[in-house]
Amino acid sequence: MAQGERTSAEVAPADADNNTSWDELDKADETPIDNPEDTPESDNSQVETDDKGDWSDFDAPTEKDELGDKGPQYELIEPLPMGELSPGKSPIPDELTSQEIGQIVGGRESAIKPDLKRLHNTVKAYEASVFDGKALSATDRALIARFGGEKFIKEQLELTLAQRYNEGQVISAYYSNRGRISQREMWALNYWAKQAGKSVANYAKERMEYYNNEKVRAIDIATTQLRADGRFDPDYLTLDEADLVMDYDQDGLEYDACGRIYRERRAHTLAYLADRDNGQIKGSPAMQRDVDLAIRYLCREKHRSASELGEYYRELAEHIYHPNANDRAETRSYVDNLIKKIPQAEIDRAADSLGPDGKNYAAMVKTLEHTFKKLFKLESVGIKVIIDTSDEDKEGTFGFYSPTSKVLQVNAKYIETCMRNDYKNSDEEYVATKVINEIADTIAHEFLHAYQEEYGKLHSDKRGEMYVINGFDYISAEDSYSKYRDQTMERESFDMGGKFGSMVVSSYLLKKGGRR
Amino acid sequence: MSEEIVKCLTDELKYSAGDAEYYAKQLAEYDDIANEFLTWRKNQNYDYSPALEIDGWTAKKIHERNRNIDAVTVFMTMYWLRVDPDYVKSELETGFAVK
Repeated sequence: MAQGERTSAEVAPADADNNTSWDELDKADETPIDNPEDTPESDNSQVETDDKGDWSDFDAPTEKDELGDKGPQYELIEPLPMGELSPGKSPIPDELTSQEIGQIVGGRESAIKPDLKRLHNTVKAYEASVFDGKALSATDRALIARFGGEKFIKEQLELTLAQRYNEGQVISAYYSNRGRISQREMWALNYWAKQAGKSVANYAKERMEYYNNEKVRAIDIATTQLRADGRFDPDYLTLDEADLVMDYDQDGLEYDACGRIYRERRAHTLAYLADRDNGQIKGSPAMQRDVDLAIRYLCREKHRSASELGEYYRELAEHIYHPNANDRAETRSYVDNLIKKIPQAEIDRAADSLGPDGKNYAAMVKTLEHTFKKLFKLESVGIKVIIDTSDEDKEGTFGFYSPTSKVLQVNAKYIETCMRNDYKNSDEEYVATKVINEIADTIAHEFLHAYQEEYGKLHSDKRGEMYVINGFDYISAEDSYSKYRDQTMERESFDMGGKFGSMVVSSYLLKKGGRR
Repeated sequence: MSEEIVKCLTDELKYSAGDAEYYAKQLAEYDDIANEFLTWRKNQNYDYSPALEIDGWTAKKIHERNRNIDAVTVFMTMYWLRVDPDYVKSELETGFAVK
């Protein structure tokens, strides 16, 4: 038995001197009590109200913020298992065992059994009077007295609240809001702490540690599973979780993929977003907290003030979305260097794979898949290349890469249809080269997108940051084609595709000429 | 002229101030392109004459390649045809394909 608990023998009995019958109480006048002195006193004047107020001078939850130790000194019925009762539903079931009733009223179950409904209603009325400032009616007051006094009803209310709330959420809120939780939540927390025979502060600390360990364990299982499935993506982790994973040193498990870079990546996107929206982050409180953490983390890591950090992201965004002549020149030079790394033999192989009629596009795509996976070191990423052979519902889309599903799709049939329409007055050979050009262009374009995505995950240099931010704040063509085309990721990919497509066509024509 | 374009981009085409300034600055670099943009603004179509032609492309022809593109894209394409035609070669060939 935990310290502070007492046995059922010590339960305060119902008021034996109270001669009011239940029937009389039912018929009693419902007029509210006007005299404020008659309203039940609360021991919780120190408890924070629902108004969260200013936290600036708040250090940490302290004993004086909590309920005093004047709480119930008797044992109550065991709480029902969590989750059995939906929020708001009475924790007091219609049917209780004699033993349970005995625990409530100290052995006078025969007197009270038919009146459990009244007890429930009395607790509800008491709750409204404590938290919502509603006055108790004369009937309620009489019922409170009949049930043994305010102390007993108060304890019933604590129990009710303890069953209504999720302990993990209350504890988490208690910590993340630095002790500022609603009165109802505080009553619930007080109840749990008393049951454990601990102060609220100690109990909350202990339980938070427990939940953190549980969280780490859950992350552990999740990341192991995700890794086994080949779809591990720490983007799904919050900063808190990433922190936990990083701090959690478990033998035999490596969290390399979830390390510093990933944490920075998420921090970058959030800090950028915060600056873009002038600090007005829309989203859940968890998201806002993440942004706050991200900014603080980056300020520390980069030795910058928050305003300097904002300036940095504004400048980076200019390079991404509003490129100047230097940015464009840099893109050209970067893509030229990438293309130089592709051996001519690989390009010739792709051209060869088209076959004698130059129409085996699938074979060319397969060859290029190998080429680009090798060039960009994407062999282990698990990219699935799909050649779509339908030309329906493409609406101007030649291909795409989905970083989530790792699907890279080339709409080969649609490209061919478009080229045949656009060049219907041209000869077949010319149309064929256009189709080859566009398919090769599209696959190079999409593979560069895949590379950008992976690069952003693994590098925290300026390029990596640009890819992360651009990927996070991507502009679709539907928004504005110019804006879509100008952003860094597309600027590079269009450049890459355009150059590469021409190279494959040149090789194809050269070989075709040689065959003649 | 740049200010008038900025106003059009922000008020009518709902561009952000930063985007509007960026594109207006480029469109206003050449008076003939800027004037054409303002003519489009007035008419809300590309059927005016005489029409500016760069490398055989008029605003109307560009728009016909893909009727979903906005006016900024049409006139920025004209801008690029003058400044660096290679930059928009692929778009004109594919009808502003999305990849």
